[in-house]
Amino acid sequence: MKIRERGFALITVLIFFLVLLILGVGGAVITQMGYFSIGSEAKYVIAEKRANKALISVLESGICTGNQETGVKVIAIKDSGNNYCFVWSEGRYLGAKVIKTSIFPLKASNWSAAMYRNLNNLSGIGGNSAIVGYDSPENACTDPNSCIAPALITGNLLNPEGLVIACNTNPNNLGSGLISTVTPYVNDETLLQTDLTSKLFNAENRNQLLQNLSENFQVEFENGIPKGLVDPKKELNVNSCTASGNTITCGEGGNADIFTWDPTKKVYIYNKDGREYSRIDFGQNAQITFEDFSGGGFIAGNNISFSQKADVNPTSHLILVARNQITISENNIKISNTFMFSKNYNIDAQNLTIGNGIIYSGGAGVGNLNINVNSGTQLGTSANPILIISDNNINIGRNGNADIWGAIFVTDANNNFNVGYGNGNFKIHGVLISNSLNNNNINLSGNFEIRFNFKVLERLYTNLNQLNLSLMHSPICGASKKKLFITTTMRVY
Amino acid sequence: MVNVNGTQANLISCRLSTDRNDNYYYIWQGEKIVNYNGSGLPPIYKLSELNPNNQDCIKNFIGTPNAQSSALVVNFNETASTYTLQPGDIIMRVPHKVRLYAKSTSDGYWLYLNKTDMATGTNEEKMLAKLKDLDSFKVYAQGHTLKIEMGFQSQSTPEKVLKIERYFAR
Repeated sequence: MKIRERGFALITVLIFFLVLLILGVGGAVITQMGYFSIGSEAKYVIAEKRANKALISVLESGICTGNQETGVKVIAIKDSGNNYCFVWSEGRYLGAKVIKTSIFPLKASNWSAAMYRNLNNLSGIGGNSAIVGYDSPENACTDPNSCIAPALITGNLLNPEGLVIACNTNPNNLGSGLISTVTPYVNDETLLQTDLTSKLFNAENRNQLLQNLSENFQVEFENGIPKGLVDPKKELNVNSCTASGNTITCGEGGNADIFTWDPTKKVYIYNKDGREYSRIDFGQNAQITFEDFSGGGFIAGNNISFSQKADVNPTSHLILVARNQITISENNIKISNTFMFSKNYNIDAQNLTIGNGIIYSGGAGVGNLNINVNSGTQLGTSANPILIISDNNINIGRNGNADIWGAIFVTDANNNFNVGYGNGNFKIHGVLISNSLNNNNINLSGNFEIRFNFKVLERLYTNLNQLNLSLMHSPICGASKKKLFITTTMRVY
Repeated sequence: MVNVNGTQANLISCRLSTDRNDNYYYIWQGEKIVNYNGSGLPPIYKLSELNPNNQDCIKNFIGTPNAQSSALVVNFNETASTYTLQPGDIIMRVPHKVRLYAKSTSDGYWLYLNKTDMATGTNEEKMLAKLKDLDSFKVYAQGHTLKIEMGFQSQSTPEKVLKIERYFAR
């Protein structure tokens, strides 16, 4: 008789959750119990918290694996299609035992190809353009180990057309519309109140991000504008410099200032005093032009540009700070392991390859980051993705066949972000995140595809981490909270 | 639903009891109920050959499928479509509409449950537990969340009071 009574109570609990689900609630249920002086109740509370903690750890990570530690046992099991994870979490404390179960989707990440807190305008969907929650051949929808996400998440409510649930695999063309094998479009109103900086970075907001960048790259910021280097070891005030081979030369003839890179000591040796410097500020007026160059270290000036066919391939990473503008407008330029900081950018070139680095445009809307990728251009590569951060006007378009590999992050200080103009085959592989509540527009055209590629994010993190840069945190695929099924059941012994 | 082996489906069953006619299920695939076009009520399916048919996924779960059924399920009125279960399908009992309320009885105030089975339309009223007093059952709306405060009184001697706050959140 006792057994029947207990079973009935559990059915009642189950009914509660079924009702919640039919209301469209992929919901979480939090149970709180007040404080009880009775010893067994206190034990129960501790056991429940242990079960909760273990369950939430799995849900937060999105990784379907079990775990066992003092007072906690977690069993996790996937279905053969790798669609869902069933988690069984047991908390124990001095004879009290609480078990909680949950089901969460493995293929619906809490990322998306394009994530906007506020997207003012979405147009161009329906031609040959697409935003896709996966990529191909890497992070493909056919691979059970891929991290598949919605195509688009916005904080404000849109009613986009062209929603497609499909698994397309042609690496050259993944279709048209908002495409994913999970929900292609998600409206998450909590994004309007959520700072997305911590989605990528070891920082919770823009100020912390700037602090983090400053510590990692020794860049001095003033309201986001790169103003120079932190504690420069050598300061000059010159007009024109050329970086070529392993030297930076300013001026001409016998009076020229020449800095020669020592790849072993990772310092420049100055011809006028024979001393070693790793951080050099060439001054407010310096125009520095890069040709083929192998030097690293920290270099600051006013404007920085790259000559045609320049191959900047430093032996250790190179930090460039331009107070005004960085210009990459010549063709056939290669830049790697270079971390660029400037107010303005003009990137408009063919056959440009930038691998493993940062393009940072700062100044809370006072500058411009114009990226017009032309034929053959690769901003970031598959193996060496790039991180683009901007709190200035940012315009991304293209003419010709081109790719961006990596993460594009738009800060909350940004006032204008447009992506999509131009013609040709253009693909962004990685993620695009706009933390800005200001003017954000997507206007797709041609064969423009924004594809979510979690592997690219992982490599971006790994590459930065290998340089001992603690800028990003390790990306976690995670589980979409919008699609969480929870059935919570408890037993007390 | 963990996997399908030929005509047999292996699943994790949290079904608790078979003491009543409960073979009414919605089958969820992702966020959608299968074969549901959005109008009217979703199709209700019944499982066949569920074995064991009273499995509990809470106690003694070892991380493997704990029940089998036929992969083929049929519409409960047996006139409409069939469906073949697929890995990742979530099979849930057609829900009940539930109303919780406090009611005065000769034995003090009790928490009552009135539930309507949305599969069969049957209605049932049950006494759940004895409340401490009328003020012991309170419901608050907090945005998208419902907060329920309950204070239960044991029927043992000496009497004990159990206070519970429960949040139902979107």
